[in-house]
Amino acid sequence: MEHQLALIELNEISFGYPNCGLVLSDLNMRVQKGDRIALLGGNGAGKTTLFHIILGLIRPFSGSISLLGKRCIEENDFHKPRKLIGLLFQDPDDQLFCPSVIEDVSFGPLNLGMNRDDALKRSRRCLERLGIRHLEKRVPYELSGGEKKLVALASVLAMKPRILLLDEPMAGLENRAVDRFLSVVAEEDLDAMVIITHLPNLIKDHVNKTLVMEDGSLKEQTSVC
Amino acid sequence: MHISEGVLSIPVLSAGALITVAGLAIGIKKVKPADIPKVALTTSAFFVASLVHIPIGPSNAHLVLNGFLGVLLGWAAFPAIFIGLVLQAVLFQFGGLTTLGVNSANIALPGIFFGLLARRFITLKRPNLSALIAGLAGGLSVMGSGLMVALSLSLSGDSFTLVSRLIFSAHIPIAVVEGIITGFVTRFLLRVRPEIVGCNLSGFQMKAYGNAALLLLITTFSISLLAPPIVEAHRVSVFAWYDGKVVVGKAYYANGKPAKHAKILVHKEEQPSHILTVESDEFGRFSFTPSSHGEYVIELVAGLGHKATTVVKVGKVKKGQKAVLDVKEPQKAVAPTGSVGNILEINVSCKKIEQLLEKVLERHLAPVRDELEKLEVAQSRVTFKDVVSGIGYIMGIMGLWAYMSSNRKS
Amino acid sequence: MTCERLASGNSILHLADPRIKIVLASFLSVEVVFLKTMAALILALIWAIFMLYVTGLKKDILLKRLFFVNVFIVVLWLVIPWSTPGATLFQIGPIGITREGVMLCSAITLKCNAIVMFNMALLSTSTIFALAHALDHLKVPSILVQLFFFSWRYLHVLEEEYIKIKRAAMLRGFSPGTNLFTYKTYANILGTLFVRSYDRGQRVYWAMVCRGFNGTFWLLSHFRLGSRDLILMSGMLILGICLLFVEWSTNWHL
Repeated sequence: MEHQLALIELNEISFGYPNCGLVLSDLNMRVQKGDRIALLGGNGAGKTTLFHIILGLIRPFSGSISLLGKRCIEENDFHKPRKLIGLLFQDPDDQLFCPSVIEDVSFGPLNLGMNRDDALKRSRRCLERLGIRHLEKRVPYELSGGEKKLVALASVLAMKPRILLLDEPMAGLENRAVDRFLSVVAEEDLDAMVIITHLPNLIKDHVNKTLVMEDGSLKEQTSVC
Repeated sequence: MHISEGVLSIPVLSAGALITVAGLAIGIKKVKPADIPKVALTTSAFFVASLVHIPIGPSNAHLVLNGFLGVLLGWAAFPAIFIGLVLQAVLFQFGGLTTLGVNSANIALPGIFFGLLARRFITLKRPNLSALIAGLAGGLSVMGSGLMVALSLSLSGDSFTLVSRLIFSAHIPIAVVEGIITGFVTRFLLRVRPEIVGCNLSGFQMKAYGNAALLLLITTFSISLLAPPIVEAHRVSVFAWYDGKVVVGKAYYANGKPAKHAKILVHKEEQPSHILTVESDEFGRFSFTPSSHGEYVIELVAGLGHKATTVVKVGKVKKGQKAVLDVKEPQKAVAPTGSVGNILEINVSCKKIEQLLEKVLERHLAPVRDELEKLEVAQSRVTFKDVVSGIGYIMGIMGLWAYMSSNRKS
Repeated sequence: MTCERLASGNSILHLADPRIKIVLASFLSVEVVFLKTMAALILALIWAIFMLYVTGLKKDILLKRLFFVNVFIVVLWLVIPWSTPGATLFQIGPIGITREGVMLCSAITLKCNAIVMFNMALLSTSTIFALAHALDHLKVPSILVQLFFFSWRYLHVLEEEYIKIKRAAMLRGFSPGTNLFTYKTYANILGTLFVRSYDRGQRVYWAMVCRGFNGTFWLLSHFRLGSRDLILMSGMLILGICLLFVEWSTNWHL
């Protein structure tokens, strides 16, 4: 158990947007089995960008990415890891595009090659666990912000990911919803999890490591906030 | 501008539907699955933007943004505009199923044409010039749409001539506002997110064909400004002659159709008011018996603004009658030389001969008159020519696209 | 959003299979365009009004929609009766109203309203999503259906964003007028809207890719043709054929 395999390993990653200089410069990151990481940092520090780079949605200027022990360079290299790493987007409207909640949740399982009935069964179970089974037939865009967030989480969990990347999951959620959200995530059988948040206090019971993003690289924070 | 249901003729509707099917086919081919969200989101933005009221003087107008969409999406603007119109039809009942084809084609084609053209010159290095070109494309696209709307209407029937002119003129202020806004939006995007406008970051590349395209842009611009969009397709004409006893005539429209039951006023020389009113029959024919010799001015009145006049001489030496007399006199002279018979008898029969000849001549001249009448009709038949030139105009635009898109690929 | 208002209801037309409704709406619209006799057109309009009545929708909403549809028709009425040459019906000052012009306008008014009412009763009583699904089942090219679908999905998001941006501008004292500053401000608002839509389009695609999207869209709900749908369809078709008979047997032409 001493030398653990890194699930996510980033080396010397640099990336920037036009006219903005570098957002990430020589960033290193290592996520291991059992890690529950809180990722903190100011607005525009590049936290969301980092998630997008991990999943190969954005290509860095330089540096290397290894996911689940494999070096990922080309678009094709990311296909397999994307099915095992679930990313919850900051804005649930980006994630929910189907005419009904159940269709949105089963979109992922269907893409994994499941047949219709199995996909539906799994999706319903996910909704049940998040306590939103009654929303099944609703149109996603008509839901409230909190409900949308839970549906988006269900759509990620329905893929049975090994690693969860959550981008601001608690923003816009009322306290009760936050509790349910966190308890479901905690129950989930996960290898690792990274949560971007501005409210480290809310999740301090659920994480075992805190990373702070500053000047384009990550620093580990040992003190409890 | 939408054309409502039930207005356009079936050939125009079918032509529009065919163009739209073709445009959609091309547009869909250009959209890869990865582009779907982007194209769709741009469509939504287009839809939202088209609900925005922009003040113009005391009134306000909806933006069309077809030129801007052409700049952003190229051929994919066709499905985008089509979908926008479907949504408007289902949600607001603006337009409907049968006019979907014509309306999409009218809005999309000019937008794609000018958009693709403008896209060649949009560059990060000269944002102001790029914005100017995009603005020009935005304005021209609206003018092009106005032209196509007017063309669809005027091709659907002569009655729409005036309406189509009004609608075309209504597009002019919108085109100006649209041009200004498209220019500003383009400059905004060039500053903020140049990749959205799809500009080539490598700089200003005006190759030989680029120059040619610019030339064409300017030419088309001047044509669309100078060419009277709708031509006098709806003139009325009147043609009349005096046959010795009565004045007969025919009233018809410029397209050759007879003017049924039209009012015809007859004036005499310089008399201030008309002396007679007659009505044309089912075939546009009319006749009256002149009371005295002199020049008659025949005025056809068919609806407001549709007037035509012609002058007929009735009189002492009427042209037609004179000819008859001229022919008659030698006949008269020949007769005595032929037989030195009873001069009295000849003199007596002279009148009979004259009558006989008149009858014969009348019979022979009738077809000539008909011919003349037809000739006059054919001369003033302007619609067909205009239809052809209109189609030519469209064909020219289409040819240019083909040229442009082939260039883009290579 | 208020624009799908006609789709809420539970009349027989609301509940009918959207595929049938699309087919019927197309058939009826095209048929009405081809009609030439007044008798047939008046019948078509009566039938369309009856169908709207069946939907049980509130009169004021329907009338409001029809009012806007008829704005263009009013323009035609203002111009065509006197600019169409023909036999003068009556004279208003120097303006002669012609029989041909009035007949043409009446025919257009009847046609337009009949078609729009058919569309309201048949298409607007379905949600856009139901229509998109139905189009997919009717073998409309998938990319077109997806575009349709996505555009509608994000229409609301973008509309909200537009309202937010505009409200922010208004709060800072922006009052629109006919001047370059107004146009520039609108351009900036629209520019922002387009940037956001572009970025969101990008993110939506990423979210799909993250869930294993590879170009296939899945259809979960399937329509089932009920006997009610078949009755509706056959009833409408028979009525449509009756209209054609009226058309052929009368000669009350334009």
